[in-house]
Parts: sequence; C-alpha cells; structure tokens
Amino acid sequence: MRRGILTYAVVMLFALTNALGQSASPAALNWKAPRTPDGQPDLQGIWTNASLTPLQRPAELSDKQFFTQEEAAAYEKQRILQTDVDRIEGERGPADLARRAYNSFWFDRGTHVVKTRRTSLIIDPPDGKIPPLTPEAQKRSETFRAQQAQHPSDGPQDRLLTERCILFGAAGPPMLPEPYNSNYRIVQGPGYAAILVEMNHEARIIPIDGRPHVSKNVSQWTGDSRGRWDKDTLVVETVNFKFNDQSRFGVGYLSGLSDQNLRVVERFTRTDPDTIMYQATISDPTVFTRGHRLLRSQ
Amino acid sequence: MTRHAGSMFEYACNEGNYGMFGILSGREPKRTAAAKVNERRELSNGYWRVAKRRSNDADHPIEPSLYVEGQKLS
Repeated sequence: MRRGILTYAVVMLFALTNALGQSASPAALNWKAPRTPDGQPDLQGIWTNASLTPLQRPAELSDKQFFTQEEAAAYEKQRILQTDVDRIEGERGPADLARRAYNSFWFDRGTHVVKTRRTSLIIDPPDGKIPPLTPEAQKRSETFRAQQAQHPSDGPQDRLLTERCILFGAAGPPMLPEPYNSNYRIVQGPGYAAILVEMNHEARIIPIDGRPHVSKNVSQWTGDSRGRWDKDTLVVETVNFKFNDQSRFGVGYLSGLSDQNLRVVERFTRTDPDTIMYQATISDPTVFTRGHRLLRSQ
Repeated sequence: MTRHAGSMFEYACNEGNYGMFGILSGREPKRTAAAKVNERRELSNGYWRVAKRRSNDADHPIEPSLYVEGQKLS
C-alpha cells in the first residue's frame, strides 16, 4: 500500500511537469536536501502555506485541473478583489461593518495560486471535490444543522472551536491555509519533529522513533501523530482525534462530520531550498465514501 | 509550503474572550420568556448550558444562574 501511494505521487508530479511544459532546472535536479546533525532530512525553518488556490475546485471550472498562465493571473486578480474588505460597495450597514471587523491589512491570503497552477488543493478525487458523504454521515450532518439552527448559542459548546479559540484548520492535520497566520515553524531533534502553528500557537509534537500510537482512549484535538522517514520524506500518520458533542474539531471543512475513524497521513518533502512539498491523505470510511488527497506546493 | 522570510508572531486569539461573551449575551434576548420557563441550566462537561425542563422538577431543580465576568445571563 505504501509503495502504491508513493508511486502515485511520483507519477502525478511527473505528469504535472509535463502538463505545464516545465522542466526542472539542472540546479534543482542536483539539489539534495540538507541534513540535521543526526543525519535526517532537514525540514526546519519558518514556512507558509498561504495561497489563493481554493481547497475545492470552483463549480464553474468543471473538470479543468490546471489554469493556463493567463487564467491563473485573471483568477488571482479576481480573488484579490473579492477578498478585499476595504472595498466599499453598496450601502453601509451592520453586515457591512461585521465584514470589516478586520480590515484588509490583517489578512494574508497570499497573492498567487500554487506554482503548478492546479485549480484546487484537492488532487484526488480528480474532480477536485471532497468526496460525497455516506448516508449515515449525511443524516448526522442534517441532524446537526437542524439542532444548530434551533440552538445556535445556548452555551459556549454550541459555538465553533475557532470562536472558542480552541483550534483552527491551520493546525490540522491536514494543515489548511487560513485567511491569515498561515505560518509554521518546524523544529527537529533526535527522534522528534515539532510543528508550531502561528494560528492559535498550536504545537504538534511528532515522535519519529518507532513508538506506537497511544491508546484509543486518549484523544486530542489535533490527534496523535507518529512519524517515520521514507527516504527524504517525513511521513506522519495521525489518529485519535478528539470530538465533542458537536464534533466541531479543528479540520475546518469537516465541521460536524468526522468521527473517531478519521485518519490523516501527511508527507513532507523538501524539493528545493525554499519549498516543502506537502501532501495529506484523509480517510474516514464512516463519513466519506472514499478517501481524498490534498497536495500543497508553491 | 514556501519558506517564509518573516518571523512568527504571538497570537492571542481570545482577546479577553469578549467575542464569546458578546455572542452568548446577544442570543439571550432572542429567547422568549415562555421558552425560558421550560428551560433550566445544567452543567455539562464543565460548561453551563440550557436544557429543557424535565418532568420531575423536584429531581432536577433550576440551577443557579450563569454569571460571566460579573454579568448575569438569565
């Protein structure tokens, strides 16, 4: 299974390069990831995943997997305009003011789509969309929304984890871009990696020493992560996610849906001095009809 | 992920938790007096929350009112 995933990724990246008519420079081909003192690939530093590329492919793009250069430029211009809250259009009122609780100065969505010019961060399924829910999960979702409509704020636990300052989607896993604070500091030591997330200053400690996951009875908002090296790639598997009655845990787009069967496998690969290729495969067989995969690389 | 030239900043999300206080306070006036008669507050996982009055009120008395930062919410 592991070989299958790796093969898929390699084939996919090769295909991307060809599809875009790009070829890696000789310098990039000869580049080797630096090493930590204990000989592991060095992922350390401060990184950002801010991007204008949407998580899911917009409906109007249908089966279009890549922008042309011109289309990407037009899309970037459109997104920057759409998300500029300093632009005043129409009448000013309460909703208008609420939208400007933070002005544009505070946002940092990036100014470009990903370098591959993919039209969505989700690369699998090929339609760029989160897979359909299972019938049971769909029912849970509807029940949840009905309950939420009746009791939107009876108490703190009815509110989003983000509003309660407990967890944001940036922390993940999977680590998803936020409108701001999409920055990460990666630190490594013998047998460990740690990811500090600027958004809500979440820190994920990842043992890379072969130890098993903790008991299923021990759950955390960001799950229980274990890492291993696959050549120059850090592979991190996370399970044991924590849930409350509303199951509104930190994976933003899974609000109110994921359950104890959620499993996320991330892959971190340095591809040049200034880039980490980030992939995440998400599976939850009691919620989604199939697994799905994100790819993030500038 | 791209190398970030800047530094990480401290992020104080809750800003004193005024946002949550405002959200919960704002909700309160929308609940009608009649609805409140049939509700009680109960402690759930460390938080007070509103629940419908049960049939045997003697066994489930109305809990003390919730106070947040000195302000009564009910």
